[in-house]
Amino acid sequence: MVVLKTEGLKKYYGDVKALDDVSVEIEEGELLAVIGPSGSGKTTLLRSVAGFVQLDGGKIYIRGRDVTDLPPEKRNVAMFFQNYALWPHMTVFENVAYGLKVRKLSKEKIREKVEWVLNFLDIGHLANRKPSQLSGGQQQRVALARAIVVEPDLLLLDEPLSNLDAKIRMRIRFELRSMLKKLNIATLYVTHDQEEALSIADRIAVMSNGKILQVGEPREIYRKPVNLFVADFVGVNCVVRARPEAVRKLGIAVPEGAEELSLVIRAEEAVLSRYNASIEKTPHDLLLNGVIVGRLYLGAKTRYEVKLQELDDNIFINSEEDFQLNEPVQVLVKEGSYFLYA
Amino acid sequence: MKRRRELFVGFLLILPALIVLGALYVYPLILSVYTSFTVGEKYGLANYAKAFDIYWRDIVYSVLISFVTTVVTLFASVVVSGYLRFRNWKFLELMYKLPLFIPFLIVGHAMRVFLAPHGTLNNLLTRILRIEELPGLSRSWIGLVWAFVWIMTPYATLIVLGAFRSLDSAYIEAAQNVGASKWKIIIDVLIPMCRPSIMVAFILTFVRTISSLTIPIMVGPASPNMITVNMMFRVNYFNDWGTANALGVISYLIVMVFAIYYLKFMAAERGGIKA
Repeated sequence: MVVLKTEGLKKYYGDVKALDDVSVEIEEGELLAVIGPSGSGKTTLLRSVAGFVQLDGGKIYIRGRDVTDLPPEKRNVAMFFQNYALWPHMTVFENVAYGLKVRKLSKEKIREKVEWVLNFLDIGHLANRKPSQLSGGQQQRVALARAIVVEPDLLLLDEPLSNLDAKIRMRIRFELRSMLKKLNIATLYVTHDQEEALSIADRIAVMSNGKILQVGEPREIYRKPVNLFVADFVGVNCVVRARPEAVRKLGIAVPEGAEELSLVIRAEEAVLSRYNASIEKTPHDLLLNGVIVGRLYLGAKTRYEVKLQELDDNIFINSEEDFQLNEPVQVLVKEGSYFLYA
Repeated sequence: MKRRRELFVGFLLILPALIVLGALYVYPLILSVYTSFTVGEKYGLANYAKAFDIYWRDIVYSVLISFVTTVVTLFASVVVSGYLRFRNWKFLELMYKLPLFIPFLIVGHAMRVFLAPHGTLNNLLTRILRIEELPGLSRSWIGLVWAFVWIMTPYATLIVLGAFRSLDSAYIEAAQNVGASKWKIIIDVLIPMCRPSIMVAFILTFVRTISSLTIPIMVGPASPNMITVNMMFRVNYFNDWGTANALGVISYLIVMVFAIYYLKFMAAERGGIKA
């Protein structure tokens, strides 16, 4: 069953199109991540679904019910705020119970539900603390508990992991995904971190300038990006601007009539090897010659700046091997790890 | 040596402020306390005995009037601020500030006309209710509170609305999101989170009301009276500075109760974050 359906959402701030004809759908239990750079409209999309943005056009349906003109408190969607927005004057228990209290549930029912959700998120022992006495990770769980305890039709997560430090973030990604899967709740997840989206989402929507450029499963987004923006935004890449003749010489089919081409190389998948090494390649793989012009030691790997001979541009590739400055090298980019756009 | 020089320069820099503070604030304060304890050549509590003897009713009355005014004012300013926090209504934004620019004397006169036995309010009410006559409010405690609330609400609203507006919207949206109505949000989120500012508004309103003279003279009943009016009578008609100052000191003490309560509250609020 479709839980959320938006049709042609429009929102303008003066000349800026924050949402430009945005249509998405989320199925029961599905986690849709919306990614894009800041200013792409992803937060506006989330806030319009929550009811905090007055739209200039379009319709929002939740379980088939038109909620476009309903105020936020009548939509039965729960939002998780980037800064958690836990009420500092209430304890953890009171924060989580508030939504149920407002819905006039009985005291016993509230206690039962809050205790269940706190234990589910493993924060039962914090029930009587104030938010200021909690760590970032604990506050995050309380905010999540407050959102899911009201059993919303749809969960909206606004950059849920961005306030945590990098190490915890990695661990929480797995936890968050398994929690959401266990709850089987439809989720709209907004993040600027493409890696986070790839690892956590069932499907990803890539946004830029208020438009959705592509929607698909993570693998599809990563392997079959529909345009230069999506290809470049997802993954760690180098974009090389090249003339069609130069590209043709590499053995890649070039679209007709293009004056200049953009070659996106997934730098995280490119392999660097010595000039004279023998390399197995299929006809669709890309083998480039270059010279090391810069190096940066990163610990397990070293980051090399390679000047490409054929394309007259520099790219950055990490490698475990040791190369010297000015050493000639070869760069192997497998089929599916590079994309060409006119 | 250098350190001493710096201290001296620093002292010189704040000296003008200290002189102004001393001459216009500390000296008169000390003088009024001193005068309150002197009768002719003698020192003692005679002025206080007299003040309590003649005016104890008025002291209680002043505290009650100020308290009722403050409560009603705060209620009105929370309602106006709550409304303006959620909705941008330019007209109300302008209207609530209007009384700030009107002198008390004018307000007093306007209220007398408005609240008089055959004034604007009663004319309207008698027509709507189709009755012959209504008692005027202009010389009663209700009229007095009415006028005070009219004057004090904009000041209190400035403080309360400022606090409401500076609160991160996420706190409000989080409550809306889990289903709270705007009223619930005002009561459960805005008021508790803006308590320090509301306390400031409370104390300022109380202090300004209990120290006001113009409005009680123009709108208040002939008896009982506010302390300020009694002080004026003592000085103007009896040249009795001693009792007037004793009444003054009594009103400082009343205000001080609130000030101490406020300071304690602020200290608790700051330290209250800890376990």
